[in-house]
Amino acid sequence: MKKSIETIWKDGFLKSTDLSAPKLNDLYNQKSQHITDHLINRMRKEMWLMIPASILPAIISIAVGNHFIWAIISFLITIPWFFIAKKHYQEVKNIDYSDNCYKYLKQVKTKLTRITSFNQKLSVYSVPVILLPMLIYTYFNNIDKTFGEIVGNSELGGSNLWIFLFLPIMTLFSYLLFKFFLRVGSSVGNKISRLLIDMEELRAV
Amino acid sequence: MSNDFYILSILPHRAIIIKICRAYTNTQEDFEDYYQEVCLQIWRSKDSFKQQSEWTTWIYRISLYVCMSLLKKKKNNRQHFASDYLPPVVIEDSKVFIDEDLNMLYDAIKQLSEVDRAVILLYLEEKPYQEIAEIIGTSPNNIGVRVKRIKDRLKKLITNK
Repeated sequence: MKKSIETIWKDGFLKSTDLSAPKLNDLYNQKSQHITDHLINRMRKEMWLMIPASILPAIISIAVGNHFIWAIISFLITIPWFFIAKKHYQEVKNIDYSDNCYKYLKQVKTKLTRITSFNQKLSVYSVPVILLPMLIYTYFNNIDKTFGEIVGNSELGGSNLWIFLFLPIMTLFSYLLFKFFLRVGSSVGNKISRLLIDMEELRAV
Repeated sequence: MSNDFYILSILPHRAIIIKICRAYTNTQEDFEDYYQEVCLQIWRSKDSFKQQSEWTTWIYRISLYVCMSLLKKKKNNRQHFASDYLPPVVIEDSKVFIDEDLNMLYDAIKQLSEVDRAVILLYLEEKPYQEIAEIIGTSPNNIGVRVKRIKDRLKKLITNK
């Protein structure tokens, strides 16, 4: 190496007279694009996850010895999850970006709040809707059996009415699961909120 | 950020921000992103600036802090944003300056750790060891040793190219 690094630095910047600064107005466009790309990717994954999630109750129904028709019924009840997720995904994906970044993020945030509230209701109400008919059928189908015999552990004993305890337990479980996923996935929502606060702050200056 | 603040307090010192941001980014897109984030943070932190140090030192401090944080964050988030993924090796936009030697020096600087990059950038900007030590948060003696080590490494990296 002929020149020292100090000389390279000094001479290099003497030649590079044009140290032009990038424009600042694109900052939020880039940031919001990153965030919403991440959100849309996540929603797409969640949408496809709804397919195994709607097959699962059918598998459980078969596993507890219910008639095959109940598996089909439970699948038909749960498959709308996929279509609901698909609708939400497309709603967010189709939000018009051409207007301006602030309006776009505002729309995404509003839509996200609405989807979260809808999903919360869905997580609580869909469990009894799916589970209750299954439990009623299981109860009448095993009227002479004990609770233990129904769940495959005869030593457990207990009245077969106990199976209805699954209803509040599973509803609570579903609600807690939703809350957990909401906490895990809330980073995108928080980022959008922070960005909106930033933009509002800057608009006020 | 008000236009006046940008024009009067940041734009005259843009060279500092540009030099630092270039050392922490590999693409024009990232560079612009970092540059803008630095400007935003300077504006946000303007009230914390105490006249004890010079305004340019404050800009160095914020620029290095923001660039190091963004780079760290980016490394952590690579799995979340596929579009952000860049191999550790410099892959594009390495010819950003007219001077070929300067481009080579930058390529070598980018292979250093985040802190070493900060040290050498401040050294090349002729900041005294005392000031570098204050910005980095170490002793001036430590900076002296570190600068020598970094310079040797840079020489090797440039010669081996």
